[in-house]
Amino acid sequence: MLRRAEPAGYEDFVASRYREIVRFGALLTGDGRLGEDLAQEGLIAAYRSWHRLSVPDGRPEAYVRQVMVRTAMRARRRRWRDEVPTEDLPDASRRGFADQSDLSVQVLASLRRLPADQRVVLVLRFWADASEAEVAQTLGVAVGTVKSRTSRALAALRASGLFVESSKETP
Amino acid sequence: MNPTHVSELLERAAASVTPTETDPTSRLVSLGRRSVQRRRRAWGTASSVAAAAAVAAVVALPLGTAAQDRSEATGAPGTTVSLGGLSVAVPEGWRTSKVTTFDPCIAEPHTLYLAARWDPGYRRPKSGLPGSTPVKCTSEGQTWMAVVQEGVAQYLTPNRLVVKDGQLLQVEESDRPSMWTYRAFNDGNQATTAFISGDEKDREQLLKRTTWPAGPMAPAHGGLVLPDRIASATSEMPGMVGATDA
Repeated sequence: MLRRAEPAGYEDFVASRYREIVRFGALLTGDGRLGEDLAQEGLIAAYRSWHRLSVPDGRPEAYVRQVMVRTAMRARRRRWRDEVPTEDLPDASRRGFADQSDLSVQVLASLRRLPADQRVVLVLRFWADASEAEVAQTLGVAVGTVKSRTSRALAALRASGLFVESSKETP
Repeated sequence: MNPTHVSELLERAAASVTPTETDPTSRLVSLGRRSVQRRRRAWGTASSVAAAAAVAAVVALPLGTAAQDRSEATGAPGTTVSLGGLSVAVPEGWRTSKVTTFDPCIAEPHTLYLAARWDPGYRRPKSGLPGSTPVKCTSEGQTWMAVVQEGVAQYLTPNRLVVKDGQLLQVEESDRPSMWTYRAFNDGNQATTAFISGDEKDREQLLKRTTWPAGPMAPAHGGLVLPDRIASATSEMPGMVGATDA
């Protein structure tokens, strides 16, 4: 007999965590709107599995993030949404997301120019605060691969010139 | 540029993003319901096809063979148990235990676990960190095995690949506790995985008792014959592997 999905608690979870999950998606894709699409994919997957995520040790947000990471990684192979690196954010992205400073726009644009695998590693390491071993486990790669991708991503960001001002602030 | 700066810039960029969806809860519940319904319909169709195939197989094959194909059955020592298409002949003197979440750190010796998922132990205090108590896994150095349905992820650059039952397996060694994981090297995110702890002889014997479902058939017009033990392999995406034998 099929077990019916019980969404009890799902609505509260979405209401309380949606904004943060969209932001995670925006960093994973380098675009606010694509990030929201990615977040919704993760949350729909969570709805399907809610009967096992709603238990005390279910960790629904970790599950959503994992789905998002995998989807973002698959984008590299499948050219998800025809993602194309561009110098400037398309106007459509600006309209939907108010209150973006120039620096934030530049950071997202720099992320978008990175290959998906480097971008994902960077976000997991420096925004989600995951260790190299945890990132390796999440992505199914060796720790050495995480290190090299992180190194390449940081080098690309340095080369972009975006971080020159920030570097000067480093003691 | 130091890690703190990168974190701050990412935080700042993330904070600038405002969702466009005004009522995400209603929308996601609606999309979720539709997704579940679509899947049920798909499963219904697939089940009908599978049921028809099963009936045909039972008619065509001797009854004894069909009885051994039962999945997710926890058996007594000396029997064969299977989970997620992977079967293990339980060694003499071993016991089987069916758990929801398998924790390798507290696995008991001479026990075969069948689990839906496992706990990688990320939240376990790591030894060497200031203020943390070093964790000693009671299962360390013991001989045990687990079959986990949502096992380890596929590695793009696995440490070792071996061929078993016509299936290319990814083999990884991990610590805390020391154990080896074996899973099909295919496109699945978290395939059924065999976790084996013990010395090399024990591991090999347990691996011999384990049967993977056959991999995809080689094309009739030719294919690649892989060696039993591959010394090294590189891959940048699933399905494309450069391998050299020993």
